[in-house]
Amino acid sequence: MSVTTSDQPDLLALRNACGVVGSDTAGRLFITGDDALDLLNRLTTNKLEQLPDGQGTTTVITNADGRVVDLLALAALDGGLWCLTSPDYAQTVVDWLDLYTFVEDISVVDRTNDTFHLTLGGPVAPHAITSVADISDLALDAAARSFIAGASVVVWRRLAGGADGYDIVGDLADRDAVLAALVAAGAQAISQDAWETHRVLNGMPAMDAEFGLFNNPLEARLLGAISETKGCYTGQEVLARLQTYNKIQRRLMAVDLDVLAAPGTKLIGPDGKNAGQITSVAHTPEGIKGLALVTTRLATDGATLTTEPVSAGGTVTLHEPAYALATEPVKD
Amino acid sequence: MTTAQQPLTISISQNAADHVDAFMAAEGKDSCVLRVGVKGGGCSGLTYVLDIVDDAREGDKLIEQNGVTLAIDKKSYIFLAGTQLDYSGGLNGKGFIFNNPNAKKACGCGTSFSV
Repeated sequence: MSVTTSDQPDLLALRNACGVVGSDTAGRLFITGDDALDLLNRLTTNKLEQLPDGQGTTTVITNADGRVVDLLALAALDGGLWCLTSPDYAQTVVDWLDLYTFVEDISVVDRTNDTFHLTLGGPVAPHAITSVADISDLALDAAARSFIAGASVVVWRRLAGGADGYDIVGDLADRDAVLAALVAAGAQAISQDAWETHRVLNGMPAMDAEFGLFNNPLEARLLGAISETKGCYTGQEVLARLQTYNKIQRRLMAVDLDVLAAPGTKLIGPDGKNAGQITSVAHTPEGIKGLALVTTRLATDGATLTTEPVSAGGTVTLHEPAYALATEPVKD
Repeated sequence: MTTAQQPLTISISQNAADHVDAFMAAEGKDSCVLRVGVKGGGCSGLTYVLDIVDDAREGDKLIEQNGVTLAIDKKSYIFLAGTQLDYSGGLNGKGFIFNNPNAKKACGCGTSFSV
């Protein structure tokens, strides 16, 4: 959790053109075996009974208390499952799957250190990727193997950083050549700060900031990764009870701040009581933006809260986060 | 004061063994083993597995009691050591029951547990 200062030209590239960022700290696992999907279906929140070749999805590993172990992106490809973990969480996921593997046919290989991971974002990203790779009809949440600069890579279209983009994974030795090809195709190499700002503006929750072992995925509004109909999985009973009885304590909201406040700053409601806390902050051309976990009863679009201490606090205005609006199932 | 130690084995009650025999007979089998195990999943993280199979797997721990041969894989054994397999025919539910001293929490339906 850090306050980020955006590099404005990089942010403009993501908004108006195309940017490419190194996502190499994210974990990359390759999972194979006849029981791999079934085990993941039993241990995570989304329905994974079938995942057709070339299809991707997101799912959450929850523990028995319904808390988040990690958010995973999965894609069926190459005769197995490519699995992206949160940055620096590859080993945690490997260990978790190993703990719950008994007699299942499953193999989990950590490819984090021998592969690269670039992410392409921005409205011109589809043009940039199709000019260097033969994936003209790749739909959102689809993945395919292709070639960029002669290197065999996985190209995966998904809501990376909370907005439509492409994850590109390949052998580590090919990283520079692939990056150069993408830059030559019009992508601007952007800073990690700009990408973090992009994530915050898109309302995309992140591990250890908006979710983790300190809360459940419902608070982080990861409903797009949770099936309400699949039946039992680890943590399901807790999550079902929270939803059924409207007991979700906090809700992820996007926030506008009128003064700088660091992640972790407490929010105070109109009644003077604790109303949650700021989880991520980013400087943008439009001011200071952030994300916050807000007490559910106060988490409404347009509501205002105060940062602690109240005597010197700033005003925080709440908004619905774009990622949640784009991924939450529509309720009748 | 002394504390009774839980036996580090897995046992099956006579009542449960009688029902296993009945299930084997119903399937026309007379030399089967009862696979007892655990798999990941279920609300609480671990789910009990019970299956009548023709043969044990290599590496299984075998326990014979009350005329039934139990086969348990090594990893499941860690989570099941001390468990007594019983059978309930009561009004609150009919079926096999795992009395597992390692289980710290169970889900509402009782089929999964955590340690």
